[in-house]
Amino acid sequence: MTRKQFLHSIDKLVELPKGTLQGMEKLHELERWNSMAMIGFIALADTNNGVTVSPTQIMGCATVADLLKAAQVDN
Amino acid sequence: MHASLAAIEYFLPQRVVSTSDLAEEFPGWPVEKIDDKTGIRERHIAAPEECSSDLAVSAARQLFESGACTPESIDFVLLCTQSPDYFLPTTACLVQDRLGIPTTAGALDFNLGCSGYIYGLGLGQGLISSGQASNVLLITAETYSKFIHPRDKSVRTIFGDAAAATLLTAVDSESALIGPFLYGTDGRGGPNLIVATGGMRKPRTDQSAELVEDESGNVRSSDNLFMNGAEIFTFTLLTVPKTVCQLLAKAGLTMDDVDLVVFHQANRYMLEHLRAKMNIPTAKFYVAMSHCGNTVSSTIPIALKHAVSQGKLRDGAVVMLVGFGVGYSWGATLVRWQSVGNHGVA
Repeated sequence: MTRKQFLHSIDKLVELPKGTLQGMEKLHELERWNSMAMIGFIALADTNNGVTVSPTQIMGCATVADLLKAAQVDN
Repeated sequence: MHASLAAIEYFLPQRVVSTSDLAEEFPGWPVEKIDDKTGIRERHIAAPEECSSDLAVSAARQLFESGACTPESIDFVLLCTQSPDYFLPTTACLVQDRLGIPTTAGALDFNLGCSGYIYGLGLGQGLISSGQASNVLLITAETYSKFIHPRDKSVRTIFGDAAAATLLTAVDSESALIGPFLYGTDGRGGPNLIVATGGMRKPRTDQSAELVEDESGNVRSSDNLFMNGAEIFTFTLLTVPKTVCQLLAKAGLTMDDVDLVVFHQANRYMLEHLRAKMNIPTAKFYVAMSHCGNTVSSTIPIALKHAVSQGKLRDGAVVMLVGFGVGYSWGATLVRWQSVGNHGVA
């Protein structure tokens, strides 16, 4: 999965139109970034990259780009 | 002698909370969204005066009425619950009396959640194969709803109350009909699914009853059930696939040899993710929780009973059962299905 496709998947998780997120967005400013979205992100990283991102790692992420890094998404 | 899983019945309390009811209570959580995430249409909730022993007795009576066995034939009661009627006495003792099971029977409670059915099968198999019992009544009974704050949608949408009664009976068989068993425990996960107060460690106080709202708008106090969904989800990703592989290796089988897979029915989202991750064909992956929700230790027997009623279990079928959750605790086993055994005990 490319970085762009991954971003589109996160768009869907936080209920934003496809193509909204670019990476620099702050997670705490995303209205729908909640525990359900977090579970969706863990599933996304597991399914597409075979990476288990722990909730502790996610709590340490400030931006969408940090999430991509945690999921080992190539730039 | 070996244990045979001879019969299953289950009981759901009368009161139903539908997904539509919850969608009305929680604006922003439409029916479609709840259904998509949970796969649950209805949850049955125990009445205020209805406790685990009441559900247990109702499930067991259904087992007796089915003709599978009589109260007199039971020589051991295993009762799995985390919401007992009392700290003491043992709920299994109350149930023995109410059901008219002989006073010569053994009875005990064990405290496990979503892995409880597997542990119950293992304990029952041990009692029977060692000659200590011939007919074990394994009951799983929970009223988690009594722990849940009404404004906590994260758990209200998922959990339902129920009890299931399973008859394990001794049969003269060359090989075991239940097993091998695989167990696992990691108490580091304890805080991720917990009712923190009400025991001896932290008695309930006015302070513990203070309500707190989380970032998702869920309201609860320390006296209520708390679930860290993300941590539980991660635990299942790390544990369940490995457990399935280890069980198959222990049994000398592959997934192709398994006819039906029944996981603890946690929620649809988690189950579908695990199924896809392990490449288990949908045709052999059984899901049956839309009518009752996540009933903790009763989900597996309820799904098995459902599978029987749908004609999904033929004689000799190999059924994989996997339970996982609160503790953390997990367990897995294989059952060689015997419809002959399901005709009952004289």
